[in-house]
Amino acid sequence: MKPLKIAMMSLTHGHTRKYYQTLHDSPKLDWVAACAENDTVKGIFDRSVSGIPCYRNEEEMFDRHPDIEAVVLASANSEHLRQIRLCAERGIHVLSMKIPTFDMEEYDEMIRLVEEAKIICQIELEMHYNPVIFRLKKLVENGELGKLFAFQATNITLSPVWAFPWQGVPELSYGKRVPLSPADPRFRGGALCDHPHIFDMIRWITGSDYDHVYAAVPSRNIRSGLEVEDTILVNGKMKDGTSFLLDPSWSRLEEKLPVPGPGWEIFPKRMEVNISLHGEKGVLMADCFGPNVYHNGKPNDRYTVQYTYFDEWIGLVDEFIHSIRTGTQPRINLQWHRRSIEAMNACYESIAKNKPVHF
Amino acid sequence: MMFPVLETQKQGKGKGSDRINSVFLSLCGKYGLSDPDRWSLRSESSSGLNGPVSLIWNHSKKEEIIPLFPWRQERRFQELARLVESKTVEDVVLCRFSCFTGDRNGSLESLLYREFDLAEWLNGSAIISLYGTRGGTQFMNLLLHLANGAICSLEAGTMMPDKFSQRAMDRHELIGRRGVASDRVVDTQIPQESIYLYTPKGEKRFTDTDSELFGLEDSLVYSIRDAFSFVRQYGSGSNKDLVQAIRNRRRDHDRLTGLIDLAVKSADLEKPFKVKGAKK
Repeated sequence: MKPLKIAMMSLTHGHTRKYYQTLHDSPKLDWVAACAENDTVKGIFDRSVSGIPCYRNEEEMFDRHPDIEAVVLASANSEHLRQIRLCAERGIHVLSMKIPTFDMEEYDEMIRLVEEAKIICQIELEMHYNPVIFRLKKLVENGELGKLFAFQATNITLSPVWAFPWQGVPELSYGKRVPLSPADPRFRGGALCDHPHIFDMIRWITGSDYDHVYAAVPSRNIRSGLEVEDTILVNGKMKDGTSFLLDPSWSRLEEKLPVPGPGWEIFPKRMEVNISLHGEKGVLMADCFGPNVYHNGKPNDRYTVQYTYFDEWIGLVDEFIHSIRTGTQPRINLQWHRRSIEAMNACYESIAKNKPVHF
Repeated sequence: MMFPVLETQKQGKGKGSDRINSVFLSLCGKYGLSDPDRWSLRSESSSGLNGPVSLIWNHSKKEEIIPLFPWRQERRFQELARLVESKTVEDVVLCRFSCFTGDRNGSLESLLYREFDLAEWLNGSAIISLYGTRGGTQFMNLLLHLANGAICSLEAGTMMPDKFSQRAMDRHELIGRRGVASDRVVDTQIPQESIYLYTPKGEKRFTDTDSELFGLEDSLVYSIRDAFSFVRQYGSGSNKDLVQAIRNRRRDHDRLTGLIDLAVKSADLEKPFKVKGAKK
């Protein structure tokens, strides 16, 4: 199979660095270029990656590398529609970050652009390639738990806003400035917008759709100086009767590093996705990123989780390449993900109205 | 539908060597390794802790057998090694290792083989002397001296009842002048798992760490990974480098076998022994 000529755009997303090794290692890929959002980001990229030309202008990158077949959109959510339009015009396939947009009109515009240009647009929801999720899904499909009654999940992390400031700016993260509720000084666009995975996983694992959601935020953030919410809890039901409780918070504190690296976390484990399932035949508890190894060495001498997982990007990129080369839709495409985005929007609506929101 | 890249469950239906070879060759093929047919894996018997699987290099109508060290591919050990190498944990002076299994998981000697290798590999330093005592026929306590001045305690035994020996109850703690690293979380005695399933039939535990090789048991995953890592590094280079790499692996294997003999001798005679040829 001919290697796929690929590029990265913007490089401002928190997951940017996670692609570097996969793009370099995969024999199915030929990483030809990157384009940075600004000079600071370009400097960081140039220090981290060698041998890949990094541009400051997207058009220039495409003009100089007309052989680019696909891009990873590693950008702020507010940039996605413009960039997908640019790619669609050039027939370039897209691997989009986990939130295409929260504006459903924009979302449908993206679907239209992709369909008309006949390009592949896969959404980066890497939990689908996590080996613990493979096992969990298999156990559920094999009927080990019987009918599911309850699904609980955390998707909690530190806040990336100090390294990736757009994630704390409502217009760039959520797409516009919308207060959480009439009396709340905070705006939509924080922790919830960073953590779609569990909203996706519950649909994937139960095979059901949302019936309703009820969401709440505390009266104040953990962190001072943030314009967006940093903790949020979500309760609700699926149409098959499964009760759920989701926690997509930034509930682990962090050092305010401009570039993520060792010593970023204050709480030992910087990222957690735990799922518990209760069914008629039993109970399952899963830690999708554990166990790991642990240390209290440099730089801060704090007890710290050193992760042993993270090969999700291999499977994700493999599927992207396979979809492009065979002309088949990836499982996690714009259409599939639309409902999860609607559910996340419904959480904000629920907070604003302090009522459950039904679908 | 899942998307395990190598579809190990389909390819892994065979038995023994056929099964692991089909997955191994598939992995070589995915990453475009040249001449994968020159290589094969041989499963000598049922699984043991050190996975009695060897890598075979077929060349000039001859077979070269290359020992594998599968545990070096376990993510937890790779991360511990990285913590030491990057000096996140500085200047390791003391190690505490333990490994308890049932005898169906392999012999006491196979445990010692693995743990001796881990002591040397994680520290980047050779064992230069040891002292051991036996507890019955299936248990041994050891103190190891390493060339870098560190010492290491090792508790190794195969007396866990079969019912509890699905996974080794092991622990590896590296204590430096700055920082401690461990593969076990603070305030726990036994390994944690990724998934716990509780049903009226009992408890089941699962820890899967490799998406590409999902569906294979751990011992095979790590053996295949180690073989793949070796072939990827040396398979397409010069034969001279390859021959030297094979020699290095055999030298390590011979050293570890010699260390086991020395441990047995030390326990039998209750005397410390220096490792012949080891240098400080």
